[in-house]
Amino acid sequence: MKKIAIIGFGGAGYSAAKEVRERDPEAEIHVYSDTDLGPYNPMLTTYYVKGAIPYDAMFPFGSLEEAAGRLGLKVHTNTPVTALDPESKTLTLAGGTKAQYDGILISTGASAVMPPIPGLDLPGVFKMRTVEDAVELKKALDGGQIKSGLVIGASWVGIKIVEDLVERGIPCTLVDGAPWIFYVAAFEQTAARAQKDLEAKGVTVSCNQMLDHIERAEDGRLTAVMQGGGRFTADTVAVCIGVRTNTGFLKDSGLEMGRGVRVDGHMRTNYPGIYAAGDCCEAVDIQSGTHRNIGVWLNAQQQGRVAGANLAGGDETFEANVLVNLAHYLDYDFMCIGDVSACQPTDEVYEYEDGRYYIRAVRRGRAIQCINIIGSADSNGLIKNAFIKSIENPEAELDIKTVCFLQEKGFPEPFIKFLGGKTLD
Amino acid sequence: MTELEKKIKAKIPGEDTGIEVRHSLCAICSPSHHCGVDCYVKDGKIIKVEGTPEHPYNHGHLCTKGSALRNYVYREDRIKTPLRRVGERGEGKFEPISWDEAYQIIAEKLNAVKEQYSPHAVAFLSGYCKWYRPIFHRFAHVFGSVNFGTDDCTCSASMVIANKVTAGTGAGPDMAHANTFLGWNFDGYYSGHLSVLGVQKLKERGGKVIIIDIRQTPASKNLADIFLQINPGTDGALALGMAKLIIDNGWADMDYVEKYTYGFEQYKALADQYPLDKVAQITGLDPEDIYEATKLYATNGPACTNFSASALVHHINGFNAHRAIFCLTALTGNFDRAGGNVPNPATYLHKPAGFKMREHEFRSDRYPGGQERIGAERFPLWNAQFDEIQGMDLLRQLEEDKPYPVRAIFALGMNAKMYPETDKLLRAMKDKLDFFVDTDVFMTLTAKYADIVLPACTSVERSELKAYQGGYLVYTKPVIEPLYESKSDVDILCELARVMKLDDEYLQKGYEASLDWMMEGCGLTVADLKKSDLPVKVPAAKWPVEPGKCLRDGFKTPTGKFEFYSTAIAAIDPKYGLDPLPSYYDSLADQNDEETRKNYPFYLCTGARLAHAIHSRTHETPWLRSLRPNPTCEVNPQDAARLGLKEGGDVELYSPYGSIRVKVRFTHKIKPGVILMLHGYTEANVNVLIGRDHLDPYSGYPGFKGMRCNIRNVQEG
Amino acid sequence: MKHIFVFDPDKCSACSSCVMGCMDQNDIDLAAGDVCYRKTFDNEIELADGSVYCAYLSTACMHCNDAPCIDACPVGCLSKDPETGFTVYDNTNCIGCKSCAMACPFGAPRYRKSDGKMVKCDGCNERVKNGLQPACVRACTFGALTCVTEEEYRQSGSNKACNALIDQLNLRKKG
Repeated sequence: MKKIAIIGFGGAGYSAAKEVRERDPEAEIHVYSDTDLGPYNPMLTTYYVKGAIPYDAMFPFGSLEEAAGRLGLKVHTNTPVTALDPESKTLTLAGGTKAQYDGILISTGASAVMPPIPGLDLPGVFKMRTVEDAVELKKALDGGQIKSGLVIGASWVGIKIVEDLVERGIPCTLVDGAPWIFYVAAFEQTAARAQKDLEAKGVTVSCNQMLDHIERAEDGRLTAVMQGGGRFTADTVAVCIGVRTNTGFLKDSGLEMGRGVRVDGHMRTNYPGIYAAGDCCEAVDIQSGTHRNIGVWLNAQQQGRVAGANLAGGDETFEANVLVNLAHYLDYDFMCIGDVSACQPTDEVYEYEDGRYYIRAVRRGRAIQCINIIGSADSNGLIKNAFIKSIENPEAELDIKTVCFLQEKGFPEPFIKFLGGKTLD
Repeated sequence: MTELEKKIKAKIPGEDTGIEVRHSLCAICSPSHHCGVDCYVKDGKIIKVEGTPEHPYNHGHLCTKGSALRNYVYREDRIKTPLRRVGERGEGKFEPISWDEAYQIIAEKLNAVKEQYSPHAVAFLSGYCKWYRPIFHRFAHVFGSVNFGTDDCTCSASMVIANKVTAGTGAGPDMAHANTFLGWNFDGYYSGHLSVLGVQKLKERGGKVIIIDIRQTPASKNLADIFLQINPGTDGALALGMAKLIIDNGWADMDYVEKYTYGFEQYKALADQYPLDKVAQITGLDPEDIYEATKLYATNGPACTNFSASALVHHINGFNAHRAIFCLTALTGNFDRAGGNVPNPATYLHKPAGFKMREHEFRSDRYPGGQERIGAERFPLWNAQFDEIQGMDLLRQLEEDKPYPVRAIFALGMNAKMYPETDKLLRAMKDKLDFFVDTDVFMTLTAKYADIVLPACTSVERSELKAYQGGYLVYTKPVIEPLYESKSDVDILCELARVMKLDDEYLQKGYEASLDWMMEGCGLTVADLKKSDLPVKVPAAKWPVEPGKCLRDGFKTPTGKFEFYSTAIAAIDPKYGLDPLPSYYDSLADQNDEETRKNYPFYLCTGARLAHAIHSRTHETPWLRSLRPNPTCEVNPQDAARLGLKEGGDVELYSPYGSIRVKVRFTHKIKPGVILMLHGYTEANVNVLIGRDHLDPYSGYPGFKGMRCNIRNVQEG
Repeated sequence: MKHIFVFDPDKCSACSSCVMGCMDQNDIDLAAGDVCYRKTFDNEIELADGSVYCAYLSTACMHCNDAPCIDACPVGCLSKDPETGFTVYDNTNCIGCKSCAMACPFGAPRYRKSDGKMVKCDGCNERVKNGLQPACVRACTFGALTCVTEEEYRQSGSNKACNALIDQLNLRKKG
């Protein structure tokens, strides 16, 4: 009977456990969690804050007991793993206990970055990653005392907090250290449009603002002081400046690491029997061919499943690791596919704008580098798929159905040609 | 959700869900069809509609329109009560009144016009649907008027007359036994959906298919072995050219010709004027394609031909074009032979069912005479061959009061948009009529001009008699109560007949008694039919109809033959210039002067079918409307580029008679120089572009599908 | 018994009976801005050689074996019905984030404005479980759209099926 350990029980951990169980009803599956909560999706926290879902809905697979019962797991709650010896596949737990396994999955996820900046621990300063963060912010907002908000970091999380505030009618300022918002995904031109839309909805946006520290006045109001001297005062401050992988305990383990645990297409680390999946890992980005940490729920689910299958003796691969992001807020949506930072001034640029869409896309030869589109939520799946196909085979053309769909959705013919044109299959 | 809730949401019929399936029929389109429907009913409301699997006609199939029947029935513009006009005619301001009051007013006003002028001053007009027509037709005659008219004056009857004066009968394609199908204007995907299956089957057993159309269609893509994309309005020339090829190459069935036809030599002489190169030039086709199609049709027999009820005859040369095509069936010996075109006379309301009913007698036994019908003087062939008014002369007669005034219209479902220069007709009705009653399901443009408006119910809210191919009859039962205060058209007619004390036993007794008289001899009564919810086999029915009756007993023409040279047309006063032969002339012959050519260079074809629409009946049905939300014309991309049109942009279509504003769509499916525009929109009624005198002299039919027009961008602002 | 939608483009005319059937079955509220789950296309596509292809298509959810939308949904709305194999959903907790649309290579999930939730074709799961055909299939008069069991599908050896597309897109579970 196989003994398998899953370290960290989020989307990837759950998905792996489920796959192992499906393939191997006998396997002994141990789950190590540093909480006693069921697997939850960090993306849902802001939706809980705005009241779109009840508390329980943050746990798509139910409570820890339910999930464990369903899949027959041995769960070790509030039991952080402090070290891992990949050679012997042995875990060290807090307190020093050791446990050896036939296979191990590292699925410890990621945490919000809270750099050592003075004032981040003041009351009224929030981050947004965990269920506790969400409960805390919701309570504060529901209390009705907050009359203004400051969001630091125009990230995917930051923008959802902006949405929470705007929908509650709380005046809101969004600042970011980068030259423009959504810097890691958006072209300057796209960001300018998104910023204009935010401003039209009453949000003050300020870029190139690096946080120096946060001060608290006697009346409890908070002021974020910027390195350039700018000051932004509000009743509450949300710090959303990024995440880092939860991989500190692996520092000297010998596992190959970048920003996260490096894995191949099978989600294997450099040690046999040790896998990693989800937000804590760096899988191969099929666009660049290099390892990249792409922390999105879909990846966590699919990587977890692949890792689970392989842990159970299968031979599965995960091949859809591409940079892709969808920001959907305040009746606005912006999608980025590909790597904006890989674009070069010599690349071919396609740009289009009408009442419905803004499109900016960059191509080098036949290879699409990055696509930004505003307003395309219904069509994003097709465009993403076309992008993946273009990486797999830059000469491939679009299938008839995709062309029809894009035509129907009002995409201009030159953009359809840009994506690969058409062919008869 | 509980399991039961899930089942209710999914509309699963059953005792537990309280959802019952009840049978009826869909009457959205022409009565040549009318498929059986299963209505899922819960708490007195239809919640879903499907085709009836055990129905002998449609076997569970429904078209796009029928699949939207629920949305059609529950439209928000249903007329809810009888209405009396309180505003100007056309303004649409009404007040509700009771049925009794409505009947009293109608009786009083119609009798007043009868007294002041004559009974013929009241015109009785019918639009869709046609199920009540025998009752209505008799009603008009019992009232004393000769003027009963329907949409037949622009639809199908031209073809019927052309068939009649040629062969004494029409004849449908015998798909089951054919080796070649000549689908002239065939597009079963858009109209007559059940016909596609027959063509698919023919292909599956190795049969060949020729499609002739002015546009590329699903039929040309999915079914055609040879597709001829013909210049619009030139079909007659093609048919004569094919006749010449058939004769010259010895592919004609000369035994058949000698034995069963009349006027071959004159016909041959006519065809001789259409050599291949000339025909290719007129039709815009490749001579080789014409040759191949003709050879296939003439030598890979038996071959049957599809005739369209309106596509061809909606040209001013359409009557002859149809005759020319029809003549090919005799030339190749395919008429009244298995696998060719076999006569199959209608039993009841356009539907052949293999037995005879006394529909015609019921309609015409009380014909009052005493006056010429509207249009009789202008369209003598029509008048001699068809016992209804030619409504295309109504506008003139209203305006001129010649040969006598028309002062009242009693209508069921009148559609003014059917008339060329619709705006002028409505103006004349507004100005000249003393009284106008319209009965309809929905508040239409025409109904807004009425003094009294009566609410009719739809097919699923009433009982009606329907005959079906295969020898069937059904008397449907309402699946829901009539909505609001609406009533069945026949009940309205018979109740009014009682109020007016019309002297007729059958109108007094009502619909069912009338049906029993018409059905007498078939072996069943209405009471028998009521025992079944589905069509039942009629004992007297002989089905399938065996071919060869004309060949054996003679054709019902003056010569007893199939007449290439029509003696019935020859009998018409020569001053009208009607040719007994199916000669060809230009479909724009009346507008080919240099000035008009220059100013209106496009060939406008209105009403080419799309699957979701039939005339104006479905444009206001939201589900169907969603498939094409805006009135939209179609142009070839070459023309669009030349004129700087923008896909989806606003354009004006205009002719010397009027203009409409529509969206434009580009399509490679039509040739440059052609513009397609679907008809029937109230806000963009393309028939205002058709001149009132742009008519086929044989039938009186307007050139809906062949008219000069022009197009230009509309600037916003 | 797993079910598969099979589409034959040589029989389709984009007549949209299927769309009507879908709207009738699912009470699509057009006035509220809802969009039907099934969609037809009557499109013309200019090919590289200058010719024009007239496409007549009907599409909805393909019910992929290994449906990416299921993985993509952050609240776990989507799942496979073990009996029919259809990709079904309970959108009680849907947050309208459109992640499913982002994952779907066919554009099947639709955002319903009236309640801010995603909806899609569920294969008429309940109908099929009760021995009826999906509403769109029932409404297709030309035989272009059929729904067969996996076994029937394999036996027919059809290569026209939409499932060929799914294979092409690697959406089928391997092994």
